[in-house]
Amino acid sequence: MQPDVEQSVFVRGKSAVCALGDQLDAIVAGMRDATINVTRIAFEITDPEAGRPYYLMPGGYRDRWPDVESRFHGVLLETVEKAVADSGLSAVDLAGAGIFLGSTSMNIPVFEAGYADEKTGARDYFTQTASGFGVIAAAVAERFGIHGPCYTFTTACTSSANGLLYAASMIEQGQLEHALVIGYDMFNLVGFYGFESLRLLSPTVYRPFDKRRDGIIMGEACGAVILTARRGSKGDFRILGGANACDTANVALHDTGGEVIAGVMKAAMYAGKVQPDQVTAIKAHATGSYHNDLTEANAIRMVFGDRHAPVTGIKPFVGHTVGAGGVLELILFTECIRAGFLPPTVGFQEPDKELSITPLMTPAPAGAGIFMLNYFGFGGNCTTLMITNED
Amino acid sequence: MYVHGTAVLLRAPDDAQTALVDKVRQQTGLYFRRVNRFILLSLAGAHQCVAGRTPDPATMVCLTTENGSVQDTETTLGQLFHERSYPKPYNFINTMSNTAAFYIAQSMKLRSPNITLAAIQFAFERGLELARTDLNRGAAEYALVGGVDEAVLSEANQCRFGDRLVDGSAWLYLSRHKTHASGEIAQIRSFSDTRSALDGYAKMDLPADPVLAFGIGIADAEHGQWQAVRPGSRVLDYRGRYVYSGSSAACGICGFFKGHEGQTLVHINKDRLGNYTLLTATVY
Repeated sequence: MQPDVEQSVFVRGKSAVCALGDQLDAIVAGMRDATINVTRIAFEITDPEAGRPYYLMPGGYRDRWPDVESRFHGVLLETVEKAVADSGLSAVDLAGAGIFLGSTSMNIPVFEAGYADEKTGARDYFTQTASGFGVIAAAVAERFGIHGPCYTFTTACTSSANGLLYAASMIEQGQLEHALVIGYDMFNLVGFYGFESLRLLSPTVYRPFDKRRDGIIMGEACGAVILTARRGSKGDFRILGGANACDTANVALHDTGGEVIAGVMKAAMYAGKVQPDQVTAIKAHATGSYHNDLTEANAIRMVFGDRHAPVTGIKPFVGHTVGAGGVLELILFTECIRAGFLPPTVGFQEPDKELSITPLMTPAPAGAGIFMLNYFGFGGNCTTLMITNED
Repeated sequence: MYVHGTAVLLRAPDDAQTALVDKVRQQTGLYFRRVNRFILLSLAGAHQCVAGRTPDPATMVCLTTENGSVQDTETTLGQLFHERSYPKPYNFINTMSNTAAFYIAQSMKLRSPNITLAAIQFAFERGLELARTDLNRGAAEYALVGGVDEAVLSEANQCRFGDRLVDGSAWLYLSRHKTHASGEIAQIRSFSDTRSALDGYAKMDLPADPVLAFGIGIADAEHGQWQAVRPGSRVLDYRGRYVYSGSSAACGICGFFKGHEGQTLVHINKDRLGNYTLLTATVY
């Protein structure tokens, strides 16, 4: 049944684990101090002398589980448990919630462990044992007694951003009262070696929009938020609206002119009833790849002209967490604002005239405002969300 | 949501891939390089659904699946662990199963939302819910919703289903506009246990003698209690006709739109946690 008036959608409970830790206060403090925790990982299978930087969860955190499978489920369930606790909602409240999980790699780390095991690593192990992408959300539902519908998004790097968009839309339309939205991608060899095969991994440091940018640095993370029609406290962020579309230029590249991405940003603002001059800041997707940053910069200038709101990127703090990035970057961005600052794009030093975008280089004061969050991915995916912490 | 096109495509898993390549080339006039069986199945089913029409550019694509691209995931894992080499770029890119939905949008010149979605047992029903959400919010005028899965040739599946294993690709072309529609998806409702699902079914506003169909999560022993709610109902055993694939529910629901004029289907399915989803489909 459709409500007569669209419901507001609040971000009420949240939790995240990433390279900066598993406590939000500590993560935000790390971002204020420009802390970077990067590990170099060698390509042991193909070329042990070579390697690339990677943003792993802290060793003391990820080593709490003895093997990949228990870690995969342990990280997920612990993160969700914290988000549920943070929401202040009861098990009864959440029994009918929808679960929206977004991931690029799904449970491939668990299968990789099977391939690495001499006993099970025969050919076709995946084919022999796969039981569907939906098993991850089903495990969450089972653990937390949630009987609402489960949606598992696999739209590459927009996966959990699309989870946020559809969860918010369903709440807004009165189809759901609460939603648990999860973004989860754990370190996996398919992704690490796969992105290297595409020559997309940076061998140096993360510096989106910088003239010397040389690629992405991957990261692992899990983030969970509770979206709800019920406001928790005055400072809760609201999702105003969003949009998504497919840029059909190329399966692995967006049209560098930025036309489709600009269209998605405009559609998101239209959905959120926001004018360009009302946007306080833009969290860019800012992958640090040559083409992606060029596309996004062109799109931002197409929408906002040369006088755009401050632009920043989150990835230099936590890596490119692919499908998890939608939820993770929403949490980190909003928690920084709650703490009173817009995070800088650490690593950025040298402007690129081709981009004409200079992102924030130091933390900037932040308060109430309207914010744009951009996410793009393989398969032409483009998703933009509009959020606010204004009353 | 009103139905403006349907397709059900079933292939034996040992059918040559070149036959699918030829079929897609005939449908689209395009030759797709570096694509896999999952992508070809998706393209062939989606294009069959729109049947030579030019879809509205504001068509949302929602591809639902249980396992996504099994072939390229297996190939990529083999390249890493058995050949000890970097994955081939296009094998790696195609492990991201949303590339299939991308190629559908590209070949039909669609720029609307493009989603690939999974859910245990209920993937197709959940995809229809996302389509309804996008149509409601004005993000799309039409939606192309499909269920696609390769036959997963695991030993367990082969023991259970034998030569009934098939690849399946089933699609609906939907909109909010009734004009020229051939039917509609009126209700999709979810329940957390058998009692509430039976009660919900009893209270549904339906014609006197609906057709009942059971998804793969409903055991044969459970059929009787559903038939008892509406004794005049007839059971359609599409699981016998459409045999097994992850997309069997999509195949059953989409297949109903051929040869059932004037009838209403109630499709009932259950997941392993005991949740039910009931969907109604009416053919004009």
